[in-house]
Amino acid sequence: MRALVHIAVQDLRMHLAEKSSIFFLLLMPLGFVFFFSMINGSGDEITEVTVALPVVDRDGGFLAKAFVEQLRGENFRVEVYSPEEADTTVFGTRFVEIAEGFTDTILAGGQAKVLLTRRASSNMSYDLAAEVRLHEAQVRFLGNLIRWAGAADSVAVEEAVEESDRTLDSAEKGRFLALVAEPSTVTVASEFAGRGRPVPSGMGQSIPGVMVMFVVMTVLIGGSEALTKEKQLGTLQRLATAPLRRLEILAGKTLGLTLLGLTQAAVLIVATELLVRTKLISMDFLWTPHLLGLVPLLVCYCLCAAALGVFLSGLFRTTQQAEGLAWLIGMVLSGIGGAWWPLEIMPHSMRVLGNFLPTAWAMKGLHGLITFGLGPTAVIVPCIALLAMAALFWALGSRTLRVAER
Amino acid sequence: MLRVEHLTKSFGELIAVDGLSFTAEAGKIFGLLGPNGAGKTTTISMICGLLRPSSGSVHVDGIDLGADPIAVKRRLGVVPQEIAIYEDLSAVENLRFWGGIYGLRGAALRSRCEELLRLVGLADRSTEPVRVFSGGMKRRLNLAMGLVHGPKLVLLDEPTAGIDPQARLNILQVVRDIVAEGTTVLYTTHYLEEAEHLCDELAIMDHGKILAQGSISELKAQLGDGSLLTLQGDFDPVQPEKVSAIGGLRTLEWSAERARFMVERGASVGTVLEDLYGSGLHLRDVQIKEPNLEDLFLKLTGRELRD
Repeated sequence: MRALVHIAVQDLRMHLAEKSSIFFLLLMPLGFVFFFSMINGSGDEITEVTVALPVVDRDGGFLAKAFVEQLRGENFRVEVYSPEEADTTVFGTRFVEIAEGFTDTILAGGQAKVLLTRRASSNMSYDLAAEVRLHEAQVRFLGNLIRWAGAADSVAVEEAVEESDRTLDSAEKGRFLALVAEPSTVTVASEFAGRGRPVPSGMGQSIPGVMVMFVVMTVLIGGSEALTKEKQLGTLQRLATAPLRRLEILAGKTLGLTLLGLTQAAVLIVATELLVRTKLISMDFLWTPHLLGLVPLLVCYCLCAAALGVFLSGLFRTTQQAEGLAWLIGMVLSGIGGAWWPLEIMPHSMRVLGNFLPTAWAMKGLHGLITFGLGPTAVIVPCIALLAMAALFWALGSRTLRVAER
Repeated sequence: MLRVEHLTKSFGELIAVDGLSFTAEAGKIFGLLGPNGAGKTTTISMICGLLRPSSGSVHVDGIDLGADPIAVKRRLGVVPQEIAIYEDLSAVENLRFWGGIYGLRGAALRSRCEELLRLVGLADRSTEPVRVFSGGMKRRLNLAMGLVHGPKLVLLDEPTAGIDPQARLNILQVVRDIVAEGTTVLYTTHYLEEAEHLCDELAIMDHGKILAQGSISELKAQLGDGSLLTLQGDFDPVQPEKVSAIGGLRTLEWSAERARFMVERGASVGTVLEDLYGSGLHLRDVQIKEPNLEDLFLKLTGRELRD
């Protein structure tokens, strides 16, 4: 056991002594954090932003005006455009269109249409918020219509239906608009449907993604290169002449790589926390509230990545092969594993494939902790999956990375 | 200290080592001499547990390698033919790492490292990265790494291959020093002079087999106790039977341009040469010398060791 730890510590020292380690372990991941902090701002909290919601009123009737009032609310900037103005305006994100005849159709008991149009360049989260706002407005509008119709002069309304709203008493119109202005009697609560989880986005996606990507890249590239070099130099074979079992040597090498991965993760955690707390970067993201689940998850993930590194090292013949292919494999694992974008937005086949990748399970665990706030129990299943994969990679590695006994 | 019995290693159709048996006495140097491809490194690899023998057994200090490989490996120090050191570490860091593998710690490890660095002449370069070392310095460190834990049996696989004479002398002196302290050494080489001057006992190998073994004097005795006569000339018209009738002369080699004979003790070299001239040989060159291991190898295999 002491020899095993001795090998692991020695390997870690040699990895850290490499001049390039400063770049790959520290500068590059932090560069990514800075980059994401710039492009994502302080996160995806919709309450802290204003969603532009321009409305083109092609109807002009009092019910259309009332509907526009229902759309207004905190965090939504509603600007009304006449049909003439709309024809000369380019809406960059999204806009709502109230069709001509909206008021008459409703008064006639018909189905009126309100159209939400999104541009391709529009922010998906903001579009989603606008859509929810539109549904809320529809429900509140219908509620007010029912209240108004129930108390209205039935003769006047029937006449108006027959002769159009121009004949409707202005007092009746005013009464409806007053109802709209009152606090709504209908409460609309909006939540994400389906599994009850939002799609991870902003810092909640990018910071864990950076960690998952850099851990797997560091371990795979550093590990494969070092082990392949050891094969070429003969030091691995020389270790096999020492009074150690073959599996002890492999375990030592795996532990060394696991420690390397954990060092990478620790660097990111500590650096991110310091940068956030000292307000050097504008992020609303802290790891420390999640440490109880984070530590076991990262240990399992790093162990799995290390076992994969040992397995791959057995396949590579030269350090050039190790360097190039480990990069490629690391990038593929990061992309398909959900480190670059949420698994939730990927095609079904990619999500199924993700079930076989350590990066995907690490991301699931991290999202469970950070985005979904499920607590430390969220990492139990990911940890089991990662340990199972680690065992498989290690078993394969013990066959591919032959150090003796041919 | 080391007993090897009927050791065989096959790689498919190829038999790399074929039924090797020998014994290395404690505190002695046992040499394996043979050309490249003779099976020396394969033999070393089986003794140190890197290769599993196809058949046969290895006992070190009375312990069967197959039954308790870890106990055997504790007694072994292995110096591989290829230099196997961590190039990014310094000499002392390499030694500390290797000592740590064998359980050495603290002051004992430090003093052992200092002692070995002095022994191999690297004390003043001990903290420099090994990658800046010359080939000879790396070879010396390679040797020291195999000695760090004070093994009872040291396996040296061509430790002087490709180095300068000064480094070679240093390595040979280190080998003599550790043997003087009671360590047993199994030494493989294809350098005749090294084998002849260093080894107490020697086995001559070729194609995975031991052709002859014993002390240097015993091996030389196999050639006979006389002088070696080497002739170069044009021998085509003369039948070898013609010269075989000459008294006191034993034919070792006969070809169109070269012939080698052993002139037996008691026979006059001058008389033998006169008889050879008389038999009609056309000679261009004549050499007379005491026989050495090269001649024995030639006698055993029909070719020179350097071929």
